[in-house]
Amino acid sequence: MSLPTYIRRRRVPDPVAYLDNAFGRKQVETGPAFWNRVLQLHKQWQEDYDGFYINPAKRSVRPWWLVADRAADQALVVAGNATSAFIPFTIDTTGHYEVSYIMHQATSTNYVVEIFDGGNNMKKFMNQEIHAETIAGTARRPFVLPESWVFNVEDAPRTIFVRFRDRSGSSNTIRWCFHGRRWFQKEAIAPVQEAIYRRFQRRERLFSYFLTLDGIPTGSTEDDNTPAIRLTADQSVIENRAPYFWTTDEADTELIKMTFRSTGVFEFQLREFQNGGRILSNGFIRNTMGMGDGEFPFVFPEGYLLERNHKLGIDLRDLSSAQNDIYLTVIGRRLQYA
Amino acid sequence: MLDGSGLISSSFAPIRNRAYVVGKDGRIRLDPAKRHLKPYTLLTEDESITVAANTDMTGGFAAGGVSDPAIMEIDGKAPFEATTISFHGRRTSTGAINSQFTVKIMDPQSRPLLMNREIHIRTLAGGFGSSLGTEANAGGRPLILPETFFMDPDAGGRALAVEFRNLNAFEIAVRIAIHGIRYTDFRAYESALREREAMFGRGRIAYPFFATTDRHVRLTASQATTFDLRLSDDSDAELMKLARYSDGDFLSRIVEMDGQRALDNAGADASGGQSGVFMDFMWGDSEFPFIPYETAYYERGTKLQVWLEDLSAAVNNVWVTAIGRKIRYPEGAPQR
Repeated sequence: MSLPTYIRRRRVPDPVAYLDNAFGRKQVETGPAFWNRVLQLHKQWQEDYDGFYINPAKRSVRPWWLVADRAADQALVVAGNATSAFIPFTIDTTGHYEVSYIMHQATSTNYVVEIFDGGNNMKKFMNQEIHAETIAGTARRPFVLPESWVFNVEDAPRTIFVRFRDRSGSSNTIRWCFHGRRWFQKEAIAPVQEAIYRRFQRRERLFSYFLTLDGIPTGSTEDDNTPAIRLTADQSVIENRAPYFWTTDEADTELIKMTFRSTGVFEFQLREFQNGGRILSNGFIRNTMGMGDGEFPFVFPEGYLLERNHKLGIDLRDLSSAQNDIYLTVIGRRLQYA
Repeated sequence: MLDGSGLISSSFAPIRNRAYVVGKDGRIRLDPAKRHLKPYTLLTEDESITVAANTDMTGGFAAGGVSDPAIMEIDGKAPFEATTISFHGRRTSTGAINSQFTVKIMDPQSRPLLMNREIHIRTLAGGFGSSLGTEANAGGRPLILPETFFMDPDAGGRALAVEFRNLNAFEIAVRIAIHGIRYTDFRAYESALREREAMFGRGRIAYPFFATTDRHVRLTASQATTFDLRLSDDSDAELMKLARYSDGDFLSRIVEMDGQRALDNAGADASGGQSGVFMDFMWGDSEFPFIPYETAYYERGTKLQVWLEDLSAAVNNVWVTAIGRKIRYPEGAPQR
């Protein structure tokens, strides 16, 4: 979270230099008088300088909001069931940027998004489209990324691209906003500038990542509304038929939060594909007892390490006795070995 | 920590008031200081204040309907540290819940103490029942002050005065409660003060502050205009939470006057379109305030500009409040 406002600085200014300065060239006292004077000056030094200082970095860091570049895209109209163009969100070269919150507002929040980092070979922050309700909130309860997305703009601007696909079936006006921390390193004092430079050199290896379901059989009923899985009334998909979260082989992923959006109630249990099919509960869990949404996500008490190329299955059972479209998202952080 | 430049993450304030401590022998014991720290709620002397109907509502923002200052006084027995604020309001004739009023907290000499001018209650205290909850459980969501403040009856800090302005054309009855800690043992209080002094330095005072625009915001339909928000010359300020209440939707931007640094990438685009950040991305309310990922620290004398554009196509009264702390230090004090 926020940088500390106060930091402890020791021996600034240097006590010896302070004493030298206080005595000056003329040293008149000797013996006990001299030491009394030293103690007085030491006390004065403590009162004036020892303790906490305003963090010098605070003057060069600000909260910062990132919205779509074009005014017309900031309240983007997407036709029913249509897909928008890639909407650019550009970070200029004024200072490095960390995205930490995601917020949205729309006529209908029933839509899915894809987010790319345009300045990093179009690196996707998700395996496929993710439902907006599972990864975005509002100012009162923004969705908090478990790990910031870091954008180093030392040499060139960076652009995040976001594409929206409506699932409400009606015209949908969508607003989307990122929030985070802007480091105005070019305006900072030299030591702060150097520290910021070092901090941002390798931070992009670590980033938040969204995973939604893979393994939904193509051409089946369950595939009719991807990325959701569509269950018929009272249908179960378990064991070999169960969908799964699959982390590909470029990075390990530590799963931290789990969210959902569905048209009806359901229950689930998580099943490891490796480790002999270990199940992470002693039975089926009702959806609202183990998943949240973008505003109030369910946070795992312990992060779950999904190693590269591993799969985490999820058995699902409809409880709504009606057709049920279920969007599931697990949110974690990835570490790429550079 | 990176070479003293402060690039570390930690919480704002030290941990306090743990009930249990670990002794030298490793055993867990009751903290003896805990016996002298009590939760305490400070109310106005008449717990419920009746505020007359505002008969001058034609301008959208009423000039009248102001209560007499109500006194919030602690007895001389022990100092008090304020931490949270909550309120209740209702229409006297029907009993219906009402939260359309402003409040100004002053010292007994009627000087604004914790704010630059009057603040809408829904940006200063919990109690209205955000749409994320209900009024019935709003007591669980008071506004948490980002910095506490002390009232020491032995040092002239015995009372506050509060003044309410009714924004309705009917009479209302309001209550306000400041919750906190009472130090029934002076050593515990001194210890808290020492902790504070170690944090901020000798002669420095930090206290919560509510900053709103210098003048009331009343946008006409689709109007876009800029309002100044001056942080005072006597202290540094750190903005930590953002809250708003408005009649309708709006866009906003915050721009620092020095250097014209904006806190967003909105503004004029290549096609000349003017834009801002939608209100629900920048401002929460006092029950669920927006907490920026990074606080904004400003040196004394800073002036901000708040650009606002109405989206409601109707008259829009907008109250925006930046909640933070002021850090006052004597003129000529060593630079820190």
